[in-house]
Amino acid sequence: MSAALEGLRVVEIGDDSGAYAGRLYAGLGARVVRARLPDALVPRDWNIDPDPVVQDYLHRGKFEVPLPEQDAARAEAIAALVAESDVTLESGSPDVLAVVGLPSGDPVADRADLVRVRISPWGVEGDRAGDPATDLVSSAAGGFLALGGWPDRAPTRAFGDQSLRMASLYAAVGGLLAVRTRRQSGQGQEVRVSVQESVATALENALQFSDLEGVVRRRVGAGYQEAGTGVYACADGFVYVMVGRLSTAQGWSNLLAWFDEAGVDGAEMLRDPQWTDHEFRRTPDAQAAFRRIFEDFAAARTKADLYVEAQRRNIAVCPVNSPEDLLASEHLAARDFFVRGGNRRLVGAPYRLSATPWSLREPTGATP
Amino acid sequence: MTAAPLAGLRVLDFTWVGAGPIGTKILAEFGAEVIKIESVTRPDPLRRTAPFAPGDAPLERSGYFADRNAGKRSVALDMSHPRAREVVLRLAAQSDVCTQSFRPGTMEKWRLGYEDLITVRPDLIYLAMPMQGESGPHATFSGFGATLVALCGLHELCGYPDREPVGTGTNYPDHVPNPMHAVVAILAAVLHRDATGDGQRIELSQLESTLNVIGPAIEMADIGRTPHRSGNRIPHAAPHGVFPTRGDDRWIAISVMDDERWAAFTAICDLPALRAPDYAHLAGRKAHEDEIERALAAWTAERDADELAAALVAARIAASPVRTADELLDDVGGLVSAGAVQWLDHPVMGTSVYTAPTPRLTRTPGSLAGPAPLLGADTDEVLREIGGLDPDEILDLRAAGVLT
Repeated sequence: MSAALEGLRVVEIGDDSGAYAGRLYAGLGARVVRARLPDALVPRDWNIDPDPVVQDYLHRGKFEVPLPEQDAARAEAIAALVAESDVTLESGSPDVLAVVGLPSGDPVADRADLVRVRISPWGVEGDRAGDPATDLVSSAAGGFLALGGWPDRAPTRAFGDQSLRMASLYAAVGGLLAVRTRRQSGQGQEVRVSVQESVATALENALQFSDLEGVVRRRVGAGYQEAGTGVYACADGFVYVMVGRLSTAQGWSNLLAWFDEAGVDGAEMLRDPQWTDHEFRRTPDAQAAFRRIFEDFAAARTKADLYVEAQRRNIAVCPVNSPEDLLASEHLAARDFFVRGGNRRLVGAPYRLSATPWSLREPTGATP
Repeated sequence: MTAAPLAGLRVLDFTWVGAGPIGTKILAEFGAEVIKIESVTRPDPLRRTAPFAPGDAPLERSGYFADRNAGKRSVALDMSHPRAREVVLRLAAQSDVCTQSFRPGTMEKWRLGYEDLITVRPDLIYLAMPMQGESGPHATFSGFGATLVALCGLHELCGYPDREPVGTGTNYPDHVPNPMHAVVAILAAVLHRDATGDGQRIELSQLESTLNVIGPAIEMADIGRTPHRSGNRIPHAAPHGVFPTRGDDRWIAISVMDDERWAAFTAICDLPALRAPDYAHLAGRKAHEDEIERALAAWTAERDADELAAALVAARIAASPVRTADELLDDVGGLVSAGAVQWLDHPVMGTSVYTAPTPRLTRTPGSLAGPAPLLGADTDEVLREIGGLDPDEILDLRAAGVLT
């Protein structure tokens, strides 16, 4: 079998905001060369998580070329890498090539058929283009942070530098669009990705709520809450239950039937007609009463058991999985999702293409 | 002028609700012709989901639906009708890509699975994006965007250690990771088809796709280093948090990423409590993170978020007020003037806001060709021009209740 991006030559230079795009290209068969600056020359504003597991994950499948410390030699090395590439993935600063030693306007970077993908916190133009930002700050500036967290505490970030992953995803999309144009017309171009703008695409319906109804969405804790919808404790953690307004009435009655079969104390009160009213179910008393009943019922049941049995009964209950739960998932195991890397289990493909399957070469490193 | 990257590409789109329609919207923005299939009897559920513009047309007022479906054409087709199949096959024969996000087996039940469709279009690119993939013991389990956040591990990892997990506040996987992975996969398949003439089948498990954006957490757990939720803190910097500022529910995000910037930071905030020699180095600040955050919060609470952010940024310290949607639409964060959102005129809703194309391509920029389509607005034209049906056939199908 061939690879979808076979023959595509990519050079990646920069920080974690572009790294995931390089990983995606490598998995699709492009030859991705990561040009690494000597540590002492890495700009302080670049966002690089020093954890080796993070770096290994983001850069798996790429070749790596260390750039020289000496300025002239480094400029020559980067020029050579760009000259032999179809696509650059530049991230972390408005003009990464200039940062690493290839001045703006250099004919190598201005090559007519070169696709330059440029990822930076605030875009490559404008007053703020050179300002520093981190995942937390971009999440704040793009409006995403305002939606996460408990109402009685500060807004809370999504785990795992998601603003940087979002920027990489848009960069990967933009780069492939530009590659198609290049193959059809011979013309390269720039693809510009602002981390802040990428974040602002993840606001669900918050922009529309403000625009159409004048409602400003803010953090509401663990999502929409009513008796029957929310996060509840069980024997080994938490489950997410969704038998309230956003689900079906059938889910609620199926859950009551399950309570009856299990002989759950106090569950009979939920059969009172007032419990069919979602407004009543949103009241604090109703939420607290339901929580008592459900958590009593769930205290002796694991999240995995609750999940499987609830599905059998057509009730939307789902485990709040931890990373360990996912590693132990019978479903993911049956699908051979995890990939063996020595004695480690590595995260598998984000998608499965029948004719051009995902594959990451191992190990990272070594000049092509 | 250079043609749009996806000019001439036709997409037959059965996706609905969350992830799928955002992905196919991007394809439309960059030149693809996207034909959305739904019906009055079984409309995209987002058509009934808030927020709404005023008016009496219940299926045509949702801003949530509109934003995700701009620039598409709409065909009303009742898939539960036995004759819907012949219409789909006529359209599929003229399509390059078919996308769907149903539970496994749904398209097959209609005899319109991948194997059926390639009988009329052998080089078709076919994307199925069910919640947990098309195989495996949980493949047919039902789920929603909110349940996926819990299932994938992200919910567990967001929030504070002293409370139950809080999640991301949105159905985040629906909005970026899953649609963008889907688009990357489709574009890769399109490039492969350009080169070889061969189509293929793509399976995107929304669970597996989402696991890829939190991959390091899974791989850390595998070597016994499971990460735990820690609010806004990160291991390699401190302080790194969100602090109250003057005003009602106003906040500032501040990341002090190294010792040098800590020194610059203490010069600005000038709090004796923060001048302890221990705090000059990351290890000392991590050891006293609670105290530092408390002192800082008391200090920031007396200040204006924008003024403080400007002062910190001038000292090369990353900071930003926590922007809310209304501020962003007022261009406080600069997104409107940067062109990141646009207002489009819709025949029922009037003018409302849409997310503009991201990323920005300098030679072949994306564009929103129009607002979201009215349900079935393009049925006759699409069946005639693309399906090759004559007016009598269309009348007959309509009389039979297929086109509704």
